Amino acid sequence: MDPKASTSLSPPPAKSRRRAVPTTFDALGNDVLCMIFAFLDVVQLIRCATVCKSWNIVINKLKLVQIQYHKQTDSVSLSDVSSFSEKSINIEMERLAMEQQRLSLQEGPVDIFQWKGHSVGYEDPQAVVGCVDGKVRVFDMYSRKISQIIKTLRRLWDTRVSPNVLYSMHHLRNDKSTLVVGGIDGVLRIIDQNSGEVLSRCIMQDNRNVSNHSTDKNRVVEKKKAIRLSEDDRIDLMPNRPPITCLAVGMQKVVTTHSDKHIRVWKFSCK
Amino acid sequence: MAPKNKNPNGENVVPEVQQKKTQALILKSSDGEEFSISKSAAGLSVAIKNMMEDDCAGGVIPLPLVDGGTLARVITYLNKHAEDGASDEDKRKFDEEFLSGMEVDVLCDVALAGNYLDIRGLFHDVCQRIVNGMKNKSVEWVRKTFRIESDFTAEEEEQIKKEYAWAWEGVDSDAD
Repeated sequence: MDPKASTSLSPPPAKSRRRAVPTTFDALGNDVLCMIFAFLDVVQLIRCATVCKSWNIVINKLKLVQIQYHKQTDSVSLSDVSSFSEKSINIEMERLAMEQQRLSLQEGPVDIFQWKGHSVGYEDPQAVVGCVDGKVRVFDMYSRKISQIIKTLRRLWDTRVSPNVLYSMHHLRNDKSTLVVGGIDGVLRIIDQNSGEVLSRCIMQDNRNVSNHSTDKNRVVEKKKAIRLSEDDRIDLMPNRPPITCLAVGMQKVVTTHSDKHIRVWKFSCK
Repeated sequence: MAPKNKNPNGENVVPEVQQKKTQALILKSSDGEEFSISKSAAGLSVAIKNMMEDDCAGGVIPLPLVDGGTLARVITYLNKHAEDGASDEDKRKFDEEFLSGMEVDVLCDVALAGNYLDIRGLFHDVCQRIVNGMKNKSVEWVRKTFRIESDFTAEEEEQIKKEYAWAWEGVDSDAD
């Protein structure tokens, strides 16, 4: 056969007996690993960076590339990548993650996992409390001090967030842009922390035909779709809106409890 | 795919593509197994296509990085995607089933083969499939699934987790 053919697809000879042991991730090599990691978002990347040293190295390189990319697309003045200190990379990664959080809360598709229950706990050192004077205060759960007052100069926002009573609100600790609120009308609202403007409203799709998945012997978890309401949808015509009594926000998800003894996890994905 | 053309006299003409399709190549795996594959199916691999274009694809093509089991899987994939009349929907369904039963080590093999042979659709799907196994999972779960042993000390790991505390909000429980 043509000698060119054998050279073009010829491997290092040592590798041909590799099949004796099952192929592991190590065998993929950095190039393929890089391409696999390119499918992950910022948050997943950071988590995977703690799996082992070789992943950590590949991911740290990827992070630099991502930051560079965002710098360019955001048309911020380009500084030399090598001048990024470890610290500023962290800050930049956090910014990207929070941006992702904001976008998925506002626009991404939402899945709901619902089951019966009557209380919810959430591990987060901070609590956000809405007060009668229209302020939103952020409490540090350990020191019980107010760590941040989001707006204090005037009534929080001039616009009414909801025509009904709000029972609960929360935001992710590092997220400075969005706040999630729920209330008596059962609508999950995504709100701009600074202006009070409602960015998006979600309710659960009323679809009783969806099959129930039993993932646990003791309880039934139902998977549902959420829908985002448009500006002119009339909430009073929407069925299936048990009031939200309590809610907590995690990375790309919101946990709500409802007065009808349901707990829902709203999973927000990227668009 | 290949339409039945008629020449001006109204006779059916077999298009050139059709003729090419009937010709076969022999691919040889690292462990010496030989597989016959149509040129049109093999051409979905950019690496093999380039070899064919350079006229290097005569006789048997050795693929010393791909073992027989993996090559058989890859050829099944290529044949389906080169099949006449397979709609995009058919192919999508096939792809899903094709990958769904695979263990991690098989996925890695197929990813390597897809990368080596430059079969973009396959490589893309396998990567996506591998990544789906990592999404919203704990680090321990990822290690277990992909059989990776951590070479971090407990302190090093704690340090990284501390730097990026926000990344650990909302990890799924491992049972999901």
